[in-house]
Amino acid sequence: MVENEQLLPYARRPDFHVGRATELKGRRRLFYRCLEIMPGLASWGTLIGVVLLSIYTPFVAAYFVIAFALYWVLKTAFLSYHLRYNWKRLRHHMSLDWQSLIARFTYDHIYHVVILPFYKEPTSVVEASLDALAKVNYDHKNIIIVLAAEERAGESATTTLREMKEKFAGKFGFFLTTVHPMDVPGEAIGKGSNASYAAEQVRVKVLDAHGIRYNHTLVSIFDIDTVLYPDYFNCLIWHFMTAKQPLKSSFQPVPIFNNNIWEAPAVSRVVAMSSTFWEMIQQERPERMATFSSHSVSFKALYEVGYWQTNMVSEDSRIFWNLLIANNGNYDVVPLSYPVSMDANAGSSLWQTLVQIYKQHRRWTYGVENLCYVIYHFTQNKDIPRGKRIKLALQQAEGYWSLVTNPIMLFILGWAPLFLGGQEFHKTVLSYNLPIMVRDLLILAMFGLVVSSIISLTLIPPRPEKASRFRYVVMALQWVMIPATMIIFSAIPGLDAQTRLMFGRYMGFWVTPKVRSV
Amino acid sequence: MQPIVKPLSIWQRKLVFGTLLLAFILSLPIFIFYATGYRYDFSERESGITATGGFYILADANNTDIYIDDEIVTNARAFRDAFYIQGLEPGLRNIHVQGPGLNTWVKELMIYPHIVTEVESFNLPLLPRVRLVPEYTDVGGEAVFFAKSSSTPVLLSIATTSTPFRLSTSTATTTLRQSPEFVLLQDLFIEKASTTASMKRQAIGKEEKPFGFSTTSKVTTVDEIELATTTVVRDKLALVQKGDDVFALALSSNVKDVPRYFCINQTPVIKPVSPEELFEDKKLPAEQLLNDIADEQTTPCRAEIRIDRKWQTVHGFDFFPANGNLVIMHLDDGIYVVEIDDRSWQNTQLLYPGSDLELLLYRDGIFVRQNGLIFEVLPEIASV
Repeated sequence: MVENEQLLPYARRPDFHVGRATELKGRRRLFYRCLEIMPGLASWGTLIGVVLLSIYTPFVAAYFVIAFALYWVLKTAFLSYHLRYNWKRLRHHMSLDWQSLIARFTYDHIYHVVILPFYKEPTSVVEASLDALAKVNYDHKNIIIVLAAEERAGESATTTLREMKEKFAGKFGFFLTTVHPMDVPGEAIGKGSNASYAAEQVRVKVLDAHGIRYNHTLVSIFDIDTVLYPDYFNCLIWHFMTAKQPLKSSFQPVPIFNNNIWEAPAVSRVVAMSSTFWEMIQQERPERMATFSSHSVSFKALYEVGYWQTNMVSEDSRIFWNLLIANNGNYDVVPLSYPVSMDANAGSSLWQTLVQIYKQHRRWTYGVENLCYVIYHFTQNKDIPRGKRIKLALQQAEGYWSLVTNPIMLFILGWAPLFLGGQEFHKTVLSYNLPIMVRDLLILAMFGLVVSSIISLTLIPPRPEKASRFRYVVMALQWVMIPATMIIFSAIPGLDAQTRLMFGRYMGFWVTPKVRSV
Repeated sequence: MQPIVKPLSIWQRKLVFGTLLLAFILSLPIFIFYATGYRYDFSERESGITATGGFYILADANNTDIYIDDEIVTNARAFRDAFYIQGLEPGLRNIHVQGPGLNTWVKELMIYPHIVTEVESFNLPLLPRVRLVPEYTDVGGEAVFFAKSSSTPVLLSIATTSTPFRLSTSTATTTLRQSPEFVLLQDLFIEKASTTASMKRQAIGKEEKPFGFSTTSKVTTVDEIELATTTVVRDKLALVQKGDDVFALALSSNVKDVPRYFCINQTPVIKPVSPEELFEDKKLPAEQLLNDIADEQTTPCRAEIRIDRKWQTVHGFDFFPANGNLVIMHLDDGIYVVEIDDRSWQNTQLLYPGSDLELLLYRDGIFVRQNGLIFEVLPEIASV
């Protein structure tokens, strides 16, 4: 028997699951290391370049800043168009009766494996997610719950497993609990290793044991705070059944971080909604999408690439790239335009919340490690069409570069020529007009925030009795914080993550604490 | 059956992208031309594109209006007290800043294409505003002034102080307390007078050399000596008297530290002096060109600007407390405020009239002693 024979040919390569340069040898290691340096170098180079440009050629810097501000306005308009459209589609999808839509399909042979990895999150958070799962409009006997704990979490996790099994085991077709052993050689601490362990357990103990076919099984991996809307599985089935290549597609819902939106501070709400909006925008341009956070995928596809990577941080996006590369580019993300609810960051204090947001976004933006992986394998797997490789690599590179540099250039370095430009520049009309023009363009761009503000109000759950009506006003006005949040919780953590990668200070997985008031 | 709202189609997205890209390509040159000062005059039949310049006017006084070539300027406020007026065609422009109850500030300045000319206006009250410093207060803390009759003296009638006071025709002071502020200021006035006298004596002693041989017939006057030893420095500027005139000197060779009005086209370029040179009483440079700083900018800079004294004798001078670009000049017929900026001319505004005055600047206050009364002159009309 060939080892790993279930894997796709490309996935059998020893470097297929490479997590970092140190796992490679020779020239490949050197090449991968260069790729790790590249994003940080590009971002720092851009930022320092703007400063140098402002000092030595302030006129050129000023023209660049004006062009960049104009680009930003138009980009905002472009993204707002996508956001508004997806909002329309999202609301339409939420209003549909998906059960009647899928009535024409035969789908009772399809099983849903729901993997819920968790660490030390409170039982109440786990229970809320399982409660929502127990209420979905779907035949529960076709739902297989895998509650996946970590051994390193200790007694509290096993207690939660026990309690949840007692309460929910009878409500689903199968209810499997797993405990991922700690300190497995070659594994990094993180969600990926737990999820992969759980997937293998469910394969052996449920699918194989009951003769459930892998291509009849859809795996939904959800963060433990994910609360499903009732028609999630119906919506998923409709998209699965109508997808061009259902077994070579991942299905991405829209994560709305609104479970605790009435309890989270304003800054947390803005950051959380911004993340939601970004995913909504991506839903309308699926060719740029990678899976993010909670998503669904066929078990067969997962099995063919050896599940999620266990040696890195951002496994939720990496699995898409694994699948795309192993399938020689023949793999898609299907946007569901249907929401799942998750928690916004809320710590025990405002400071704690800010720290949590920063760390969470640093972890997310550490997804730049995927860029190295993608470019590395694009140079290795020539079966992927060249045009597709170039396009995807450039899109991803631009995404990580602009994430870090754009807010800083726009809101901070845009003024650099004024401060660094020298006497000759200072007395010119250009020097006086630069801040006025940039300010006016940014105000114009801020109209996009009005769209965001309106949309955000439609995505929040009903107001609890204890919350004042005034909170609606605050929620509408909170968007003025966007310039600050873009820098503090997007650009700076992104730069932090890229710098760490650049210097080989690889990050580990940081679990966002989930606290919810009962 | 399927959802009605389809995902955005590729052609829709390409159309939006293409439209925005076109908007970017077409509008970017317009934005850049506009930012650099180019304007298109639709009323012109030929060559409607003009390279324009602008003014940046700092106007400290409240409730003032700015006029350029007799047309009021609106919507030009950049900050609370700063105005940026752009799109002005090159040429000589007349600016005046005026407000109710204030002196009008007027200046003629050139507009150069692509360049912003910075200027700072000042508008003192037409009628002097003063706060009387009482010598005595009664037991209730109320200020007491002495008068020969019960009618209010002129000074008291123009005083803008809101502090209640009592007018007493009796000069008995046994029931009154002396105001500490008055005592302090009185001492400072005495100290200033004695210092000045001492300096005058020292200066006379230096000049009167009974056994020396002089080859010139020039006799140094007391005033010249007194004022040559009186130098006031603030930041990178100094005020110094040479002969009858007072000069503002730039103390830094760094162009960034020198106010822009030191740098103009039509005047000879002079090397700025260092503070050491100034205080060591070395010969002040007057004519030599300074090519090295000219390399750093297109307009050469001067080192000194003469302050207008209205052909009167200067009895004292200092920087205006609230503004280092203005000079307080104690002249024969009153106390004036003169701007150092001599582009086109120096605006001079009367702060307080009178010929028998003593002037004292203490902290940020301008104090005058006249006929035994001490009062603070207020340089602005209090905003309501």
